[in-house]
Amino acid sequence: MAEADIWEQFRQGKEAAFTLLYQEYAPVLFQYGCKLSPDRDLVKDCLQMVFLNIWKNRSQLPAPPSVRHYLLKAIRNEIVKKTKDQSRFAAFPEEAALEVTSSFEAEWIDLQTEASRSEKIQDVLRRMPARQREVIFLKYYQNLPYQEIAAIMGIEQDSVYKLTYKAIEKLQQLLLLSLLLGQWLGS
Amino acid sequence: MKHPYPSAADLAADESFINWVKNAGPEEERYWHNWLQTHPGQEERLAQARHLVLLLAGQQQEELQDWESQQIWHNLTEARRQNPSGGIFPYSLFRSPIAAVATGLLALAGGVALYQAYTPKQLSYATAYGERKTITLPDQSIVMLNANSRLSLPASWPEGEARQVHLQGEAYFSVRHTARHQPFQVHTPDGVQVEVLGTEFSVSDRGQENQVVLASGKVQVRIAPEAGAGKEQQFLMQPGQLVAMSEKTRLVTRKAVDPQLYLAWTQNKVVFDNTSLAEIARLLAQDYGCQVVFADKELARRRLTASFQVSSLEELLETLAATLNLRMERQDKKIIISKPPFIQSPNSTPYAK
Repeated sequence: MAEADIWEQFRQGKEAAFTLLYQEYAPVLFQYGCKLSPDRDLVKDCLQMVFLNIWKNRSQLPAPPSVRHYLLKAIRNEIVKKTKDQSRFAAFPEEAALEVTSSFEAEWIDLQTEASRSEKIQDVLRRMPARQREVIFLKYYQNLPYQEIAAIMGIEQDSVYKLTYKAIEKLQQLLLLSLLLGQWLGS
Repeated sequence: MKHPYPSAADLAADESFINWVKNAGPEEERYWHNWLQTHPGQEERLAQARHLVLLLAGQQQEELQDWESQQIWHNLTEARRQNPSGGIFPYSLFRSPIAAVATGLLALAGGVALYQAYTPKQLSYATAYGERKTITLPDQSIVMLNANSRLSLPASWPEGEARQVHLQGEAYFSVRHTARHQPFQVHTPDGVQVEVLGTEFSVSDRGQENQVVLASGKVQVRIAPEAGAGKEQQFLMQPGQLVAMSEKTRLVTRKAVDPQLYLAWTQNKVVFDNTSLAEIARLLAQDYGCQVVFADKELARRRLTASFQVSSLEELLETLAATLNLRMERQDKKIIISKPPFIQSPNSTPYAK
């Protein structure tokens, strides 16, 4: 069944279609949500809310050109709403956390062990500002064009590109350093 | 690519470049091939950029676990049933506002229970490098969590259903029978599920291998097919058996072992049975977060059969150095293993700090 048909059936209240939508999109919505908030339970809550809301309003929903886009934006809105309410409970530590008080050497040395290498990269990715993290997810993992990412995030396409570029530069710094010190990671 | 002299970052952020790296069709191949021709000396840059894209594309994600997905679906069904025509949905089906105050920031370091919700829903325990923790479960079963591991479970198991826990890393389980014969299930991220009625066993999901070692009782191991293709594999284990699954190949092997070898860590013992230094290095990385460097590559192939009582990384390194007659130099998280100098003064020790 084509995505448009499933959506249409769902709008008509067909349980099977709603189930299909959930199975298809819950995982990726969750993955995306986790880029926006470290609170797993909060993300699950928002995920739940998104599906509850679309079910509740199914007869009044539009037929979006891309269901995925629509839902990604929906969970984003939901999470932003929720985290605003709890602004006291800060989300991720921002850029400042990546200060290098230990020497860079200590950091790149860790990259040698395979286990800690991917962990290190995960660590770097995790410490990026939330927006950079979001963009990386949508661009490199979800393969969405910049235009669509801009629409989902509600910012200019230019800003999306800048965010991406900054994130890459950061990752690159770490890797290039290890190259200079003679330890190319390979892939 | 309009940029005449793009940096690797420029390339890695370029949409058509990303497309080429991720799904190179003939058109993309042609375009970038041409580009390289007209921009000589950019091969290295291109390779770096490609590497960056692959790294970013291959990043791990937080996965919605099956049981979590089912739980949400269950909640959805309930909520829709209670409010068939819409209306106001409860504020939060996972956390009450009070829970939000109690949880706050999640602290990952230190191996303290990650959080315990005020309206208890989900318990999570984690150990740091070099740390072990003994946990008593709601049914009085005991779990010994090894270093660098994580266990999560609901604060209370639903009546009449299997007792489920999720494990990342390594743990030893001593499971009690329940009056109603509720099975006890251990799930690992790789899709390995161990189900028992009441018994003692260890589950390890480290690095590239998943292992289950059974000390007593009976255990059924189920391995989910990868990415939903193929069949689920099932094994019924006997005491003294080890079942291992390689993460990469998904191949399963079974062999008879002395469980004590694998459970020694629960008594702060370390047991090596013709174990290579390379393997020991891996253990040091896993359990202590150390990075081991061999000054001489062939040292990694040396083997050791020994068992000793250790309660700290220091002690372990000292003992290893003495037993193997090697020099182990430690710089924070880095350990350099080398042959001791040929001439030793009477006062020098193989282990240096």
